[in-house]
Amino acid sequence: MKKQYPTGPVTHKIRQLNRLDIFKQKRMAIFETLSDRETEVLQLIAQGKNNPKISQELLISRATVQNHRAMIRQKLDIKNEQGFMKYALAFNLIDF
Amino acid sequence: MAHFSESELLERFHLYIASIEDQLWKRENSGDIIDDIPLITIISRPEVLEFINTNKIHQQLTGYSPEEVRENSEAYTGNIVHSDSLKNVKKFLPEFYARQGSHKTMAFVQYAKLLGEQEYSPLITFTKPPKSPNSSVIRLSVTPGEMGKMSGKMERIVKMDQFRLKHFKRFQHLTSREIEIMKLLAYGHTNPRIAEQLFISRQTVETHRKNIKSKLELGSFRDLMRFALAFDLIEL
Repeated sequence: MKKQYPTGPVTHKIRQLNRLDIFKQKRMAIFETLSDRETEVLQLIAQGKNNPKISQELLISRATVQNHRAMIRQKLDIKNEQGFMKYALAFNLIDF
Repeated sequence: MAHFSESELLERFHLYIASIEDQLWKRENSGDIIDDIPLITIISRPEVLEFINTNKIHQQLTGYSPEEVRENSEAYTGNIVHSDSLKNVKKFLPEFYARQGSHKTMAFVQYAKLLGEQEYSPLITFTKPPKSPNSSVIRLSVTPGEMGKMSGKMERIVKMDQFRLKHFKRFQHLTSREIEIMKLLAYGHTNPRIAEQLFISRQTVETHRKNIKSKLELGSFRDLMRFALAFDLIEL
């Protein structure tokens, strides 16, 4: 039987999540270079929290948050805001 | 209900549909055919609310017998299906049944109040247009939790779909230009870049951005992304 993908209202989303799965597999090794703290910061960024909020929540200085953010950017080769979201989505740090 | 993987589910769906379609050509009474199918099964006219038959699992989960569904279709759907979801289904299903070729399969989410539950449960429903204009259509439904390996994905999709339903009215206030700009913003483009790409001034981009922000009540980039994902504006 020919395998078919359903088309329609949730199809785009199924494909979206399948693409994220592929992204996850490809970037697994890079992602694992993040420290636990950096992963935590990435999750908070992806939740839409700004630096002051993150510094409050983790009880660290704003400069430290700034450093973490820069480090995450560098390690994951993130070019813009969407990059943070893409990693957080692919690695299940946020639902969507 | 049994658990299925993603490919199994699709394969089974096609298998079930094929067997039901085959049998429907041969005899009037579809009850004994669909009762063997371990998914909620509904056979209707392409007009959607003209029901022909439902199976045992459907009765177990909704409390409605095939006779009750047939004779009281308005009351049945009104009681079982969430009104927003019903509006949605009434709108796109007939279009789908009329427009597409018979090889296409569609999956969509609908929300139904199952027997003994207070809240609406999301159901992933698979369907296909009729073989010929006069033949009936078949809809098979499962809950995301029963989709085995695909459950996690389906639960996320349901969350996006719920977000979409909740914010649908707000989203409709956007102009097509604003949607265009929103897409570019969701891809992470900066204002100067968007201005260049659309041949408009940075000031205009900024104005559009402010309008989008206030119309959708966005507080962060994440909020923007949620809309972009829920309304299928981007491909990651």
